[in-house]
Amino acid sequence: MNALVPPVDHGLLGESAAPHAVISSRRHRAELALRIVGVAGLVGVVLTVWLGLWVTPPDAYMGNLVRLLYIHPSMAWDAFLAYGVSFAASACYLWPRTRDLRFDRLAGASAEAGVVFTAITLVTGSLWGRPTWGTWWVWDPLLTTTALLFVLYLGYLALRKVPGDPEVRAKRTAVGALVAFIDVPIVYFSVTWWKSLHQAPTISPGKSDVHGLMAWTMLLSFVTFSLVYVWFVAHRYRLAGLQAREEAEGLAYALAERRAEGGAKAVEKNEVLT
Amino acid sequence: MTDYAYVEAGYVVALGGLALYGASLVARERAARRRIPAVVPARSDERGVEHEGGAASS
Amino acid sequence: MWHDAVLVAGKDLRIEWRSRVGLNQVVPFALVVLLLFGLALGPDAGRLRAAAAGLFWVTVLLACLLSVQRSVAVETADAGRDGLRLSGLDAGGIFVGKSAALALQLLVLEVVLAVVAALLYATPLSGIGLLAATCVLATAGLAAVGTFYGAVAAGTRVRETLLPLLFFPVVAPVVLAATKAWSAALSHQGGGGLGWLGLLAIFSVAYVAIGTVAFGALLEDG
Repeated sequence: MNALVPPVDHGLLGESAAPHAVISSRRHRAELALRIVGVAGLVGVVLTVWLGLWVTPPDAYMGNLVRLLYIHPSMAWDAFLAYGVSFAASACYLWPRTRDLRFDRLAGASAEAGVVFTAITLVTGSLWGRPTWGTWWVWDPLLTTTALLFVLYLGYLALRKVPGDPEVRAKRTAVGALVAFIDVPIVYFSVTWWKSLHQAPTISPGKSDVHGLMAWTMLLSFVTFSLVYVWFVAHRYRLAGLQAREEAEGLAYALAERRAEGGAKAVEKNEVLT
Repeated sequence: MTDYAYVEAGYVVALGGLALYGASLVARERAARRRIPAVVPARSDERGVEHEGGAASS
Repeated sequence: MWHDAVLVAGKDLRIEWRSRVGLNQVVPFALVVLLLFGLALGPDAGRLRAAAAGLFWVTVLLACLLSVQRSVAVETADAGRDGLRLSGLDAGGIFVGKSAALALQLLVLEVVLAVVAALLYATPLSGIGLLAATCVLATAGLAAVGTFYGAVAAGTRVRETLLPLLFFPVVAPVVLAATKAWSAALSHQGGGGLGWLGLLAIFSVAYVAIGTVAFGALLEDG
C-alpha cells in the first residue's frame, strides 16, 4: 500500500501532486471488474423490479404478495452468505499459515453487508407476514434465528469498532466471530424444538403455467443481489484498507489536515513563535 | 391496506436500504481518500514541509 | 492443565471470599430484580407461577453479567492479566479455572435465588433433581461464554457496555433451554426436560472446548 505513495511529496500537501502516479495495471483491472459488477448489479436490480412488480402475474394463492418473494429470500440468502464468508475469513485469519490482516478486513466487510441484508430480510419478512399470517412477527425458528443473528453481528461490529492495535483487534474479532457463528446452529435447533408447533410456511410454487417466469425472476433476484453483495464487500474492503492506512499514519494525516485548513496565517504565526 | 401496499413497502425498504448503504460506502470511501492524499508520507520531513507550506502560501 | 485450573479457581474464589463482592452486591441485585419482575407482572399468583422459570433464568443471566464483569475486573486491576501471563500457567487451565470459579459462585447464587423465587412466586420447587442438573449444565455454559467474552472485551475501554451486547445473544439458547427444563420440572413433567438438558450439555461442552483452545490467543494480546 505504502509503495503506491511517492516517497516524498513536496507538492505542498496539495491535491495537485496526485499520489496515484504509480498504479499497477492489476489495480486497474480490479477496479474495472468492480465497475462491471456494480453496473451488472444495478441493471439486475432494475430488471428484477420490472419483472417483479409489473411483468410477472400474481400468484394463484398468494396474490400480489408473491412479488415480495423476488426480494426477500435473496436478501436472506445474501445475509447467510455474508456471515459464511465472514466466518471463513475469520478462520483464515486465526489459522497461523494464512494469517493476514486482509482476511480480517474481508471478515469485517462481509459482516457489515450481512447486517444490512439481515435488517432488510427482517423488515421485508415482516411486511410479508402481516398480510399473510395477520401478524408482524411469529416466533418461527427461522425468524427468531435471523433476529438473533442480527443482534449477534451487531455485537461483532461493535467489537470491531473498538480502537486498538490492528493485530490484537483482528485476533479478538476473529475469535468473536467464531464464537458467534458456532451459536447459530444451536440457536436454530433450540428454537425449532421450542416452537415446533408453528409450521413454517412453505412457499407455494404457484400454478405451473406461470411458474416459469416467476422462477426465472426469482433466480435473477438471487444473482442480482449476490452481485450487489459482492460490490458492497469489495467497496467496504477497500474502505477498510484506506481506514487501516489512515489509522497507521493517523497523526501525520491529522497534522496535514489541520495545516491545510489552518492556512497560511496559522503556519506563519507558528513560525514566528518558534 | 391492500396487499399491494405491503409489496410496495417491501420494495421501498429493500431497495432503499441497499441504496443507502451503497451511498454511505461511496461517501465514506471518498472522505477517506480525501484525507489520505494530503499525507506527508515520511515523518522525518515534517519540518521541511511545514516551512515550505508556509512559504508557498504567503 | 487441571492443576493450573485449580490454582486459578482457588485464587478467584479466595478473592471473592475476602472481598465478598458477589455476596454483598450481586446477590442483593438479583433479589431486587426478582422483586421487580413480581411488580411488573402483578400480584396474580397464577401468572407469576407460569412465568417463574423464565423470570428466574433471566435474573440469573443479569446477575451472571455482573459476576463476569467482576471476574474480569479482578484481572484488569493492577495488571493482573500480565501477572497471569507471566506466571506460565497453561492458558486453557486459566480459562477452565476462571470459568469454574465463576460457575461455583453462580451456583450458590442460583440456590439462594431459587428459594426466594419459590417463595415470591408461590412456586413449590418440585423435581429437585432436574432443577439441579439444569442449573449445573446451564451454569457451566454461562460461565464458559462469560469468561470467554469477558476476556474478549477486557482489553477494550468500552467493556461494560460491549460485554452484554456480545454475551446475551450467544447465551439465548441457554436461557431458552434452561427455562424449558425448569418449567417441565416445576409442572411435574420431568421427562420433558431431559431433552433440554441434552441441549444444555451440548452448549456447555462446545463452549468450554472452544474457550480452552482459543483462550491462549486472547490472553496473549488483549
